[in-house]
Amino acid sequence: MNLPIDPIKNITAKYERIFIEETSLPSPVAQRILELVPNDKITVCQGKPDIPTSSEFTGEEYTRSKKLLFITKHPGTFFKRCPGAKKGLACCNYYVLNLGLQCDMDCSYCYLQSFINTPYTIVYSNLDEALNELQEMYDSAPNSPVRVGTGEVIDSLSLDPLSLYSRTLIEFFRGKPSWRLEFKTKSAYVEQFLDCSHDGNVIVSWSINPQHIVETEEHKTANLDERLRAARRALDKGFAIAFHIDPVIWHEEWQKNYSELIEKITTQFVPHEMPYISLGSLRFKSEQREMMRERFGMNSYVTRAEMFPGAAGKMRYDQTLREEMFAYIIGKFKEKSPQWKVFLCMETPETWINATGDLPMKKDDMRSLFRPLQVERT
Amino acid sequence: MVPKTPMWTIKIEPHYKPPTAMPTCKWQNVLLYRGTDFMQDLSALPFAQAYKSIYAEMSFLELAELISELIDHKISFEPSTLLEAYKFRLDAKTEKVLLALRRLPQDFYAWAKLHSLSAGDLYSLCNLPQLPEKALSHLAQLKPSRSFGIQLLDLLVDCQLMNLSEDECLKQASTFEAWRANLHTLRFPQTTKRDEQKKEYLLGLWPKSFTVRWLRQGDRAGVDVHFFVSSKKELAEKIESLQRVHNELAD
Repeated sequence: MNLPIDPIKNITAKYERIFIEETSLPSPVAQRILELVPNDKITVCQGKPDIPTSSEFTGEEYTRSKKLLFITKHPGTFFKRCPGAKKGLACCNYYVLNLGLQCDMDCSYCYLQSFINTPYTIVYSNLDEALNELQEMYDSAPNSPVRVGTGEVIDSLSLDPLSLYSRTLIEFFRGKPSWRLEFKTKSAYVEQFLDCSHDGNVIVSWSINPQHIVETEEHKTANLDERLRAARRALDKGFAIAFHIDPVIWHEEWQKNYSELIEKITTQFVPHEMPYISLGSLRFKSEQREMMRERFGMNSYVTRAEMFPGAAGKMRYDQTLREEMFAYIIGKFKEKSPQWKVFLCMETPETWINATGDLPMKKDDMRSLFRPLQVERT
Repeated sequence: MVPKTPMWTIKIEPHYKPPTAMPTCKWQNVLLYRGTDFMQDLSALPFAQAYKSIYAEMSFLELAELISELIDHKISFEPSTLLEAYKFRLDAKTEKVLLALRRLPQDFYAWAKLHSLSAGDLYSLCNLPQLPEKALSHLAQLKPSRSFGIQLLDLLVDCQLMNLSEDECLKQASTFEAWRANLHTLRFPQTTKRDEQKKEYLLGLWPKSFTVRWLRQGDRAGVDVHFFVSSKKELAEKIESLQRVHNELAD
């Protein structure tokens, strides 16, 4: 297919070197890279590229891992249950399909900083095997309302103009109406799949924040307006869209900035155009603090945030502050229209009750999202 | 024979003590260990192997001190091999810590060594453009336990990175508890303010027959309430009081 050249150029410019493991050479993604990326940037290697790293990454090593790309086969299981599926958290039947590891963007709060220890970004070349796993899972639960997301450990779409995985996945989900495919991104790259026919079960979702937070904390991402414009483009082509206002980040002007964000959303979209908006507050594992402090200093709303140990072993804002921010944002949406469906992601039942008045299972507009699955893969 | 004046004796005294019958050992012109009158020359071995044959265990900070001494005396050795002999790895992170350690005040270094702090425990210091030497010395003088000391160090590094002056960080630092409380206030100003308001309000709600204590438990702050009853009547009174508190409690 013909795409505007800019996304490819922009993506390629982010990488100092692209390694392709030789057994991945026949894969469509490797072939496409060989076709589109200047040859002097590509190294074909046997096994993993030899890049010395510390047992625990330094900030510089982590940053460097965003500048090297490795195309290789994934040796393990692709399909994983969402990390929110833990005792003590209200979860929403979300499954994760990992098609790579590491992100080309650089959000200060990114949770990848807590566990990435590969010295390069990875894109898996064996998408065919991932689809086999998905098919097996589908055969065992064809009627369950499963949501499959690809944006947990790599952005779903920021490298997609290069890999075109979205097109293959959309095609796979055609004819599986009870299943939903969810892309999650902070990029504005949608053009590469807008011509694909689909069954209305593909959700393209954007993690969004006020432009002030995009500028201060979400480095190398598309700006807010670009994300909203991309969402409109996807919607106009019949794709479902969703927004994740996540992480909500406290700062002096948070009420004004989140009000403006809600104003933008509610003037550019109407409630029936999206199944839900999810809200989550800033959270991270305590082990991640050191990496963030090293990479971003303390001149960031994230590193400077007043965080305390909370549910699921993560550092969180004080519960009262979280409730206040959630109640404010939900209230602003409901002021615009009671039809907006806003739910909390990775939150405790106590916060649900205090911020929204009840648990998700007891709310008419949320129940379907939180219905437990009949069949679960072990 | 053991030479009376070796060219150079390693000063560091590791916590691990070799067996008493160990002979005196040297490596090239360095006296590694003064033991029995019998002298064993280990110069044929690489330094790391020679040293490990005497000192079976070394903490990271002991090794760092040893490496520092060897470098200062221009002894030819391979730091990575020495670290690996004791199951440590010389990587970018360790290297940064080793460099930072050379700048630490002696008393803080001694405290850190005493409590076997790891490279990871001290890595935060590498993020500081300038070490808060006075504060680190003060921390060591307070002789905190390992975990309290690490907590305090973490707060101190945060405050320094927030551009708070060392003098400001050292206010109300006469006891460990007071210092930690002050650093906490500096690091968490919004929460401290909120907690103070909430605390004053919540503690004021209870009748005197209840024992009420303000508590922060992770990301939640509230009151811990105790009461004692010895009869059904007393329980009814307490329930009535609880109901009054419930009614007064704002949503």
